[in-house]
Amino acid sequence: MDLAAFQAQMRHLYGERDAERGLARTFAWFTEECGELSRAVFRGDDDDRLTEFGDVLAWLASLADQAGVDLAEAARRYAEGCPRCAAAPCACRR
Amino acid sequence: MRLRPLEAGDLDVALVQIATSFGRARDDALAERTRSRLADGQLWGLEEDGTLAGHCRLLPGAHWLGGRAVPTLDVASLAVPPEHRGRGVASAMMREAVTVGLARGDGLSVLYPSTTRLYRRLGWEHAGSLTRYRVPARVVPTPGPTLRRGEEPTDWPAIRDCHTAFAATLSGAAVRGEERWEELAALAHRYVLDDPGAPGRLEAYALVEHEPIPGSWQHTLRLTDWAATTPRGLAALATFAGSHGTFARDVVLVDVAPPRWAAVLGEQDLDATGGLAWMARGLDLPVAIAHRGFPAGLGLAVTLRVDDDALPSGPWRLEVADGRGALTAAPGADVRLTARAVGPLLTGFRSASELASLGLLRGPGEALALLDAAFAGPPPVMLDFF
Repeated sequence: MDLAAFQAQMRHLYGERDAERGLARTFAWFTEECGELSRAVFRGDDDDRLTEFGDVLAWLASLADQAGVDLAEAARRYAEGCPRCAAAPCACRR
Repeated sequence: MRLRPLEAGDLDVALVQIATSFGRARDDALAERTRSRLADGQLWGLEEDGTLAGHCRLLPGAHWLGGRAVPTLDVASLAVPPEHRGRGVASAMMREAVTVGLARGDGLSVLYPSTTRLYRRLGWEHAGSLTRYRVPARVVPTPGPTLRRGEEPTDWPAIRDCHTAFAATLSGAAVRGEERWEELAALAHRYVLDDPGAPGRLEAYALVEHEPIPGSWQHTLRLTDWAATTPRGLAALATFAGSHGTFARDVVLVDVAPPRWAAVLGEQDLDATGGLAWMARGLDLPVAIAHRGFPAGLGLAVTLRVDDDALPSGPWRLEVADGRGALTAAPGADVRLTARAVGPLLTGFRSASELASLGLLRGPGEALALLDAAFAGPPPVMLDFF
């Protein structure tokens, strides 16, 4: 599933409910999921990580939808290389 | 147990928890404010087996430190109803709140503690104060410029700008949110002092309330909000207060510590009548350091680490130059901080040397002296309660 299809699927599944929830509260849920992701990354197992990355991606897609952002278009910022130095791999000084 | 944003269906439970935790009678204004905070994503609840065991308010805040705004997670209104007390619900909520703050990219968490012990165990420590003062109106001197009523359409934005210019010079003051501005906008009496050199700008303002004294023909003049960005502005506010000497017995106000008003009063008539300590806890420290301002002209580097189970904790190299700071990964650390040392160090409430003498931090004297210089500043204060 590509990003555009994923965003459309999230809109289909949760779009109406998330719109009622509003941008501020959707963002609150997004941060809640980031907290769960942090626990999965540092203290969880592989199954936890797979679940939480999926959940964060889902809330990110919902957030993008409500903010009027096309995730596929946003991802294009990185399509040609690093947005700062334009090289791939990135050649920016660390 | 899971801390999650409250949903619209949680409103009634939240209102019951507010009533039974804080002794607040349920009324329309409270219900409306709670509904609005819920819709804004500020209310979070600890869910346990499908039940809301307690809730709190997590505000996306910012506080002025070193002249720059640091993003913070401000915690307020933590409510645990009686039937859920004694089981660590509040502690669990705050542990989860740390994770939320980290995920949001907040540098610090700030709160007014209802009890110090709970928050201290979890890494918060006293990091500043809010102090109310009282002065008899008749002793305030009156030879200064006169404020005018601030009723012009352009006055409100000018008042907000004046506050921001004032608060940015203080350490710890909150970047004021819309909810507080709306409360202040409802006050009937605004007074302002125009800046003659800059049309549309103010040198001072006061938002005032008159509080009757039961059984007396006098009242208390409450400067609910004020700011003065120049000595002339402060003199004008004193003149304004002193001009109430007939009908107002006392003037009450929040000021910094030590109070600036003491510099324009003739004698030691300004009494601190009440103070609150507020606490801070480090969250994303590289964010806190990158956003905070540091003394201009100071250049230094110190390595440090924080003993904090809840957060990424170093070791880091703190570099300060040109009024800015940066925290980058380092192979080792000269200074070791307990989690509780971070809040008071970053707000400048306690120096590194003082924190060392309290057993909250340790390191070689030379490194502590550098940290003392880096975080030196005015005593941290807040002007608003939340």
